[in-house]
Amino acid sequence: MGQKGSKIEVTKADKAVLQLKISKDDLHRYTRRTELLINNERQQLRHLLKEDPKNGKKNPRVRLILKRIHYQSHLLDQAADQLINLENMVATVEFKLIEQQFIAGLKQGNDVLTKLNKEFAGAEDLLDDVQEQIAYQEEIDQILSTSVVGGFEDELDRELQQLDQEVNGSQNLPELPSTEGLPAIQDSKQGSESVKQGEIGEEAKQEKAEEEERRTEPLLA
Amino acid sequence: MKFGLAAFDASWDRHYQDLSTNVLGRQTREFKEQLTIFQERLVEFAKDHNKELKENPEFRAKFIRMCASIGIDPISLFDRQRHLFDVNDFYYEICVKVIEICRKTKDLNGGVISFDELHKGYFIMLKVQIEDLEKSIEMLQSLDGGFEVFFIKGKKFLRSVPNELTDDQTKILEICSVLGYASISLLRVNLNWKPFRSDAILKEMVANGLLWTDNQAQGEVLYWDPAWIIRSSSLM
Amino acid sequence: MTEPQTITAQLPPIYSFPPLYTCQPNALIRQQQLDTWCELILEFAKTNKAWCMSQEGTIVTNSEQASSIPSIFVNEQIQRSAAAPFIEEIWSKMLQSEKAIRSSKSTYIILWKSLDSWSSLILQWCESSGKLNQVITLYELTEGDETLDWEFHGMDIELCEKCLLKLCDRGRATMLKDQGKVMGVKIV
Repeated sequence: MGQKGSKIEVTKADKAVLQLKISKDDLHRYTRRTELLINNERQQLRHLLKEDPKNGKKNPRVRLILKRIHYQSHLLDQAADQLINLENMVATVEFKLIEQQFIAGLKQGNDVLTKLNKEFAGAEDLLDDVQEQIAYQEEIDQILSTSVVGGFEDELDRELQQLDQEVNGSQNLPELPSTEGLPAIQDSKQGSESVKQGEIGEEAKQEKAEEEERRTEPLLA
Repeated sequence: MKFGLAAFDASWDRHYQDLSTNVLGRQTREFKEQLTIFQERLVEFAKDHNKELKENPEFRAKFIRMCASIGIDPISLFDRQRHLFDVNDFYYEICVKVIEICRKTKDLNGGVISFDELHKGYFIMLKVQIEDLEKSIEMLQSLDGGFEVFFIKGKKFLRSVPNELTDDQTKILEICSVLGYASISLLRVNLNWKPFRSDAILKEMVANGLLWTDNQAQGEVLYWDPAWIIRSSSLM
Repeated sequence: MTEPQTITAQLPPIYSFPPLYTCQPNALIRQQQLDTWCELILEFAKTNKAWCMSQEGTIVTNSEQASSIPSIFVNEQIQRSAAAPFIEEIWSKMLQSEKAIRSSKSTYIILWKSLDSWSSLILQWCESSGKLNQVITLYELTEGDETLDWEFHGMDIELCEKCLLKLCDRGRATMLKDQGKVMGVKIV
């Protein structure tokens, strides 16, 4: 019924506890019933005595009921004792189960600890090794740092020179055509201005085209 | 007498329990106080900013929604003397409630409910006067939504289903308002109707859900008005 | 025990409305009527702490003594009672809306709380009283002294079993059987 699907384990101890508890329940049920019975009989007794206060005490029925009450309450006491016994039993079993878990837990912890300690056995060698490696590393660092200094300086110089060449080269190039063309441009400008006032002749057009050609030269270079 | 740990159990448990109930009780009291204070403040705020609330419908709608969420019925925010918000809003709120109630009780009473039942059953706890209720229902009628007010023996009723009550049906409901039910013989004695006429109309009203049949009375079938459900409790 | 007269006194006023006991011909109204009956039964069962009711509408208790409580379907005050076919209809509505389930003793278990909320309540008890991971008997759960203050105390054993099955489905419990009968449960 419930076993399918659920992974909750039912141990032998669980079953034993169940049996104990079932008998406990039976006793509990019995106690309740008996209590009810005793109460009923007490009431009956009171009723009888009230009805017949004079002869009531001698009435055999009254005596019988009283006896029964005593007997029942005696049984009730016994049942209560047994109930307590059973409850103690259940409690003990449950406690033992917890103890068992406790021991198991301790054992597991111990196992893990020893295993961990075993792993620490190689720790000293490991530490030595690590120290050695660190020393070696430091050595390498030192070698590297000293050897780098000279070479690095050379490289810097070379790079600077290259940069210088690049920068200066680019500055020289555009200057050349502009110095050559300057006077020519001034002439043509004057000419074109005078032409603008009148009609635009073929010469002017040509001159303009030449001027444009010249202007494009430095750009092309 | 208990020793060791066991000695703590009973008395300490009780102490802790007392303590926790005390703390919880105090907290609830504090919260309640805070809530009432907050509610009061809100109402005050509404009064102070009445003008803005009136002018800005969006603000008003949000404000009303907030009030509703902390347990202030918007209807209780209206103050008739001071015309808190727009006074029409107050009536609109009542209208909405009335429509809700009519829809909820439609299957029980065939869509006919007395003003009395509306007022005593729903609005009295909101401190809404019967006059306000009447005014709201007046507004409802102008909606053309099939709401109609009619009288039975001088008492006002609201009908929320579209099919109109005939004169005969109204007369039967009048009879019902006395004893809670009508029957063929009762109609013959009071209205001098022929049994077949009464039977037809009564059956029709049952089909419309206006009356419930009861065939366990002695002699004849009784037709009960569901409005009697509220009334019968007061007879007990 | 409660007086027979007071038993139905707490029911809402519609309980005293005479036509409620006649099956209404108008289908729409009949649905409303059946819903009303369902609510009345739940209310009746809850106020009287009744777990089981018979087809006739009386409360069924575990003790052998016949209960003196009259049927809910009979209203002496207004001299009305529901007829058997109509009662049948009411019960089928109860079953359909999961407010009642049939028990093996051909009675109805009234669910004024759903199975899920009952099982949650049982779980809550286990958690708050440190009963997790232990074997608990059904008797202990429903009749034991430790659950006296809990709402499920006195619960019908069959209902209890059904609630615990819900917990099993959720993987929180497993049933323990003895001689083919479910006797205990272990909740984790």
